[in-house]
Amino acid sequence: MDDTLIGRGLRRTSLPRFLLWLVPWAALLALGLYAVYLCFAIGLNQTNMDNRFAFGLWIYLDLTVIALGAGAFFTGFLLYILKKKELKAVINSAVVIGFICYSGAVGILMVDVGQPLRAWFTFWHPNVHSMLAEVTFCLTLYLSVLAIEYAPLVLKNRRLKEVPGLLVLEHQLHKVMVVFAGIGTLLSFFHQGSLGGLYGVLRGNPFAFREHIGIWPTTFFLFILSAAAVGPSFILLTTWLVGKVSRKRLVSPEVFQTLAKISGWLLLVYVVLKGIDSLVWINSTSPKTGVQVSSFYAHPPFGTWVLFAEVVLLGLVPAALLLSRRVRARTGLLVLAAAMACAGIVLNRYVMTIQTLALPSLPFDSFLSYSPSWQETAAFLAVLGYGVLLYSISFRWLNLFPEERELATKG
Amino acid sequence: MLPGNTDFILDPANVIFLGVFALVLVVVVGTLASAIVSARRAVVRGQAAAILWHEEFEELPASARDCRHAMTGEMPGRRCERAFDCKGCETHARLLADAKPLPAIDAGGFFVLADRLYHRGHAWLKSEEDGTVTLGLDDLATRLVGTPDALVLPAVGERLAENGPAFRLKAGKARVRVASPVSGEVVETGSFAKGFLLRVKPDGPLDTRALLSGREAAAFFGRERDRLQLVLSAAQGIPALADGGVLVGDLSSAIPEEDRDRVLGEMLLEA
Repeated sequence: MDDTLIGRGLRRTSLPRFLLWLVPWAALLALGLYAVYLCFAIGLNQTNMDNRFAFGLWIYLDLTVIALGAGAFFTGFLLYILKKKELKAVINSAVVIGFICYSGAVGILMVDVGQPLRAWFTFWHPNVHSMLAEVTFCLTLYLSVLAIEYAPLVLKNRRLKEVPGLLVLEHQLHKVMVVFAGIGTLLSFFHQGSLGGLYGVLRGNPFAFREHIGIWPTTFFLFILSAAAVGPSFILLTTWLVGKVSRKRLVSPEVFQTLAKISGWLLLVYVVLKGIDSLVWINSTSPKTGVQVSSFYAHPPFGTWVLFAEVVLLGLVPAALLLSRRVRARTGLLVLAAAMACAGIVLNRYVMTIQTLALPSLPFDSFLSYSPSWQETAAFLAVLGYGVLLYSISFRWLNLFPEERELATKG
Repeated sequence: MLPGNTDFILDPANVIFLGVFALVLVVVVGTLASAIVSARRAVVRGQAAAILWHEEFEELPASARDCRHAMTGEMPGRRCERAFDCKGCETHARLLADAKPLPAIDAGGFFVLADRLYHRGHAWLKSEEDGTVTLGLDDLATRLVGTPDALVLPAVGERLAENGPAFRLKAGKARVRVASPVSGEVVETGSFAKGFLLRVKPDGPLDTRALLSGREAAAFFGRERDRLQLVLSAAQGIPALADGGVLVGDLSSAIPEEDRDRVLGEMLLEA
């Protein structure tokens, strides 16, 4: 049965070994689901968040995975709209990763809201003045689009495609994929931006507040750009990781190089704009509110090293590495640069979520520290477990890397 | 505007905000619905086999997509872009009209019978006197499959679509379909011992323009022998072309079991 589901010419580990690989991830998911049950059954007092520290590990996770999952929309945009055909080699994997990231984020949001049965309220009683309303609408729609983009991969499974109706549906969906790629780009553009805008509009929080361009704060644009920049790096990183774990060549080196070049250029533009934004914030925006920027970095561990690490060490350096032809020729360095780029965005989202809330924003306020409860941590890890499970299953039974078979044949 | 929502204010900003999302939702649902309707229509019209064939053709390596006129040396290096459907191919029609005598071509050590027409997926077709056609597996595929563990034939009365599955074979770990060279109704099932596997009553006049015979078929088998050597040598980890000798009769025993499915799939043009 298992053999007949695996794509022709693809070699996969034995079923018992595969099931053994799944066990720890399934255990992680099960523990997380128990934590979620506790949150639903007892309440959000199971977390260490409160009215003052309302955004914790979960929102940080959401922001991070949504940024990393941007590879799905951006690869789709490059392949279907800009016709960069070489990215066909990774589009399937990008869609699966995007689906995992977004479904994981939406799942955690449902727990974070605490009343998932009332989730529809946000659609029927939208607060149109809130960035979060736009985020909710975009996330929901984009997750639906990702599910539609995922469907053809499933329908193309070796056994399923023997059913004529399913095969033809896959064919027809593939024909209209350009429409979904376009919609995905539009939705991603706005929800990535709104997630950034969410912080940039906080007038009462001088650490997060930024100058506006039109109706949007600069963080709106920086979030879009950073997500687009790091998306291809994350695809590169995950493809390399899957290749290492499965001990297979999945894509040709040229694909890695294309992803690196795209990521490098976008990251460079992002770093330059982020640098300009930081300078404006340091010299104008923050002083205008009566707060010197130095005061934001007077609370250990949040020293100025955080800004340096975010912009230079994990921004400018990986951008330069990704753009270097010599580095691109060496897979090890390339992967290191991609990992650094991803780490930079992970740090950025941490700063925007956790540091913003930890810093005092009023004269009588004090620096707060927050550490997540085990329930929060378990739910966070459950998303990781869920992601590895779904990706592993997809990798085994779906053809995620169209070049894999040909590369295996070449030896 | 929103029943039960007393706080909602109908102003231009709200209408634009919700209108944009409603529009996106309509486009998503509309596109999905149109894909489902088109799929259903294609299935009802019996286009599923053609779609599968075209999809699998797109996934074939370039070496498996040689034009029949490349094999004969008339147009060296030409690749087929039409899923081996020569009926509407202008180049094919032109070359047929300008047909010149060409040197004989080695059939690669395979039997090419004069009364058979060969499909690129390794089925043969033979016209019978009663207007039906018989279908079978060509010499290369027969040697590759060996003695199959199972042969799944369609029942009498079932319909076949050109390039759709004619029958299925199971040999060890390999499960493959053999594409049909003709559309029609199955009127008799055969066996390897009978010399044919299916007897089919074709739909309308028999159109064999996409099939190969004679010198073209010989060239095809010569090319397929080369392709098989590459596929087989890759299975052993070292891509290399053999430079001498003759093919063994029982090719099936030369294929490692773990590669049998891939090798048969590649040779029978199933992705």
